[in-house]
Amino acid sequence: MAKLEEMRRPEQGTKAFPMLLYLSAGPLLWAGHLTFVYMAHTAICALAGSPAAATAVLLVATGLFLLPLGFLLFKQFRLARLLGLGEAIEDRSIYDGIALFANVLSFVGIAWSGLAVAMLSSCVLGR
Amino acid sequence: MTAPSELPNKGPRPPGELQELERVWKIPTGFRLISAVNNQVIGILYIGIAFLFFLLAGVLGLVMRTQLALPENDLVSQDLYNQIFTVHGTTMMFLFAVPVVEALGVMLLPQMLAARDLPFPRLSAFAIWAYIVGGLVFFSTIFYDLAPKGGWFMYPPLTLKEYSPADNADFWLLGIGFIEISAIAGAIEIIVGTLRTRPPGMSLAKMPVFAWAMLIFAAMIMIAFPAVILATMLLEIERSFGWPFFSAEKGGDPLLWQHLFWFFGHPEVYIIFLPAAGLVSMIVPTMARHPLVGYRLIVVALIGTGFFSFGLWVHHMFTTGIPSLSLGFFSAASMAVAIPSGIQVFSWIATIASSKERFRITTPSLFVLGFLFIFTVGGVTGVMVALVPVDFQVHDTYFVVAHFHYVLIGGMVFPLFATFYYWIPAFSRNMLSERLGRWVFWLMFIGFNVTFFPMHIMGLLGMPRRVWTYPEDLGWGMLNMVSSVGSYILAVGVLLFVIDLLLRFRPTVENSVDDPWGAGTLEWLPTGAYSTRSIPFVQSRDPLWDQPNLAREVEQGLHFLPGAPTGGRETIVTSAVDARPQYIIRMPGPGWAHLVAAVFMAAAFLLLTVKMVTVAIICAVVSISACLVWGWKLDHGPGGGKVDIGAGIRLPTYMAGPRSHAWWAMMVLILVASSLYISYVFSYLYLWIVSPEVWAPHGSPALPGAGWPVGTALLLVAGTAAMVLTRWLLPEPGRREPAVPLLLALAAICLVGASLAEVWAHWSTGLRPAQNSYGAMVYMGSVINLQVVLAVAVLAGFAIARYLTGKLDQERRVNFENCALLYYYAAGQMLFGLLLLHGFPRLAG
Ligand code: HEM
Ligand SMILES: [Cu+2]
Repeated sequence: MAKLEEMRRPEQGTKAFPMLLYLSAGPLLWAGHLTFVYMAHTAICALAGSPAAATAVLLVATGLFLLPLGFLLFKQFRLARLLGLGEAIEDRSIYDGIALFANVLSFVGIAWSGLAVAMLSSCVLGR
Repeated sequence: MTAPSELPNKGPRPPGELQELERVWKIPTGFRLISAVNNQVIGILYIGIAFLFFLLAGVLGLVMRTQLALPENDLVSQDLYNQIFTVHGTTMMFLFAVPVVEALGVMLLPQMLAARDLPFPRLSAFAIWAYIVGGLVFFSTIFYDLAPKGGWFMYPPLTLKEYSPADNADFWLLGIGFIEISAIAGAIEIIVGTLRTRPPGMSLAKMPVFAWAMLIFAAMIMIAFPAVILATMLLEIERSFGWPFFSAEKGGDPLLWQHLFWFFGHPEVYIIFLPAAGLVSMIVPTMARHPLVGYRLIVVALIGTGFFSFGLWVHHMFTTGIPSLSLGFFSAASMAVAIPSGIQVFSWIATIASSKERFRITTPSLFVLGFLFIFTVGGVTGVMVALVPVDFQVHDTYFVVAHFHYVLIGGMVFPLFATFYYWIPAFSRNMLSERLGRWVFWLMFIGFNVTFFPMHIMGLLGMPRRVWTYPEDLGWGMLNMVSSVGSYILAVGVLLFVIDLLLRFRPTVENSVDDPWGAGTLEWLPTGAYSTRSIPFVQSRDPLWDQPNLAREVEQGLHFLPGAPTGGRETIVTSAVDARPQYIIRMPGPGWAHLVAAVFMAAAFLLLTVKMVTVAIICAVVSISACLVWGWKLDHGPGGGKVDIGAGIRLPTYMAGPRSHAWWAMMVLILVASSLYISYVFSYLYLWIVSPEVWAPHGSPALPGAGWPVGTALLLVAGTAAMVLTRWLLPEPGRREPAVPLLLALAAICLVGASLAEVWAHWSTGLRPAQNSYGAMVYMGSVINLQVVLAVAVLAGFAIARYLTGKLDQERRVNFENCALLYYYAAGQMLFGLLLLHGFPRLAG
């Protein structure tokens, strides 16, 4: 519970940017994955026309994005510490919960759409 | 939880304090009311106009349903029908759905956050007036046969000059482009408002879900809207000057429009839905008398939807011929976005299930339940059309029309009506009628389903959307008739609501019905024009439930900032995460400059549509001058000293640097500008992938020599250095430093010079923008830079004028900082542009 006393010390409050980063680290990785997959596969299909290369690159990329996210799932406190978010901040457990669930959601998101990459041959026109 | 023993202020409050608050926040009366900026006043205006657009576009929907009730009907002609569905869709999406939720933000956020107003009251008033003028003119085109006919997504080539020669399409492009700008202004307000004007103690984790939803809503607007703004710019430029962005024979690609449009368009539906979901998350706990179950999960769902919705746009393009991997990838992503929405639905159901006693069935809760049902059906058909083979089958049929009305009307109109019934007591002398409300609900619910359910079947039977009539022997007559009857039932429901509104809605700021539902959040505190008497110290997520004496304490002025110590409008700015008080923001009161700016800005855009360029430019100049007048008075300077807000906290009344709200607003604006630029970079690369054969050096004149980009870059670096130097040289208050204006001017000249040099460099190689898509893209880069450069030049001129009048120094430096921040961004963007435009073809060619 917030104390009136704490309101007198604005300088010691939690920093905004690290907190937003902490809460959205997973979704940001998800966004990175989407951007990479979309760009890489468009470029490889258009320029090299090599479905095998596209599939391989995308699978590796999916793995590479899942790796840090998997790490985060188990060690998210490391990230918090890295970002300078102290143990004592107000409502810390709620932020931890939000970050954790967001990471889980992003993990599922990447793995699920990565599955599509693995199963489909890449460069044929869909219609 | 027990009441805190310690309160920020002691009672009884000195005499005259309340009167001072009332005087400062007084709402102008009579015709001067239009100059008002209090959020309750402009909020009601904003909601009212948006609702008017709902009614108007709804009438168009009825006209369409009437036309389609019988086969081979000729109530309206084919051409008029095309205009009608275009204006219906466009109005519903751009003039009703987004504005109305933004309006609810303006109206409700300050109350929920117990702020005296949003941080930039005149900015919201400006956005609202611009929207009103622009929107009304846009809508009225339907009466003069001037309305666009390309459907609400305006695909080229249909909308190119060859196939749409008249001005109709330009009304869409300029009108909607303009409305988007106003929406962005509102988004800036909402972001800074939710992050920085929360009451002391309301950490992010205690923020009401609606505020979370609006925060994410505004962030999504920042990323999504620039894409469609770029698209409308490209299409308008192609229509006016023939730069071939979308013409395949010159290396353009009509699909580029689809990418840009849907990169905005898909998030758009979540932009509409998230705030509505936020509203539902406020209503359900009240009716259940139980805190929201799964607050964290709901916040995660909002964040998740915010992100995921940007990864789906290609599902609108499944039938355009794209690599099968894209199909699979985006199909999977489209299904995944159902997860966060599902989380929310289950949280609401869980909250309803854990009601204390029984879940109260009131009109708002009926609309919420109706929403749950309809939205879920729409979500299920959504997963269906996310499956590529299903989409191949039903694309462009009435199945899709059924689907998106289920999600749009279910997902936002029903929550909106719940909102009206639920929150009107906070702003009116009377509640709306509960008895009539039930009629409204059932008529709307039944009418809705009778109208739109049969459309699923029509679509499966093969009826395409956007047809003005159909032959009798196809056997679609019966279903269409049922659907049309349903639309009239729906209309009667809405009409009853309007009658109820006329009979019982009496807006007031002081004498509203206080908290009829026994809710837990701050908007139900007693209020006046000044918002709450004092700003509460918040210690829980449902303060009114957990701090039982709160309303009384607040009303007695025992919490923060019980008066108006600076003698003007003001509120407390708190830190973004923990909401600790940092400083007092002084806010402007009623005024005319923003009004003039808005009206003339709208006029400028509309006159451009009908090619009255000179008058348009005059209007633009008037508008910009009005903005300068408006801006001149904003910076009060640190002269106010420090003021006491209670609990022994003394806050400064002026703030510059990364803590100030101006700094935050500028950062948000820069994010908007950068997402516009990223859309541009995407378009450049996209057209290169499509038509590498027109790119320099083979398909176009060779690039200018490397001296050009290097020289331009040096200019930019020099300008940036001048700007940095100015910051160091800013004199102490009362002193002079003649180098300051000179350096500012020098920096601005460097920037303008650099942008001209870039244009000249390409021009001198013989490259012309209308030649091919490569040329068009190269010069488009300069067009985009020019916008930012002009803004920086104006800000620099402004800062110089401030310096010369003694209003700019080391402490009073917000005007300089705004200019400098945008300058650094502009220089960065232009440097990147040089790399792209001069480096990339060298690499790729
Ligand atoms: C109030 C009752 C409404 C009725 C009776 C109605 C009726 C219709 C009909 C019949 C069409 C299909 C036109 C065609 O394809 O030929 C349509 C299209 C559309 N409606 Fe509605 N509608 C209503 C409300 C809404 C609302 C609330 C929204 C959005 C918030 C909305 C958004 C759209 C859009 C975007 C289109 C597509 C326009 C296009 O094809 O370009 N409608 N509506
Ligand atoms: Cu979509």
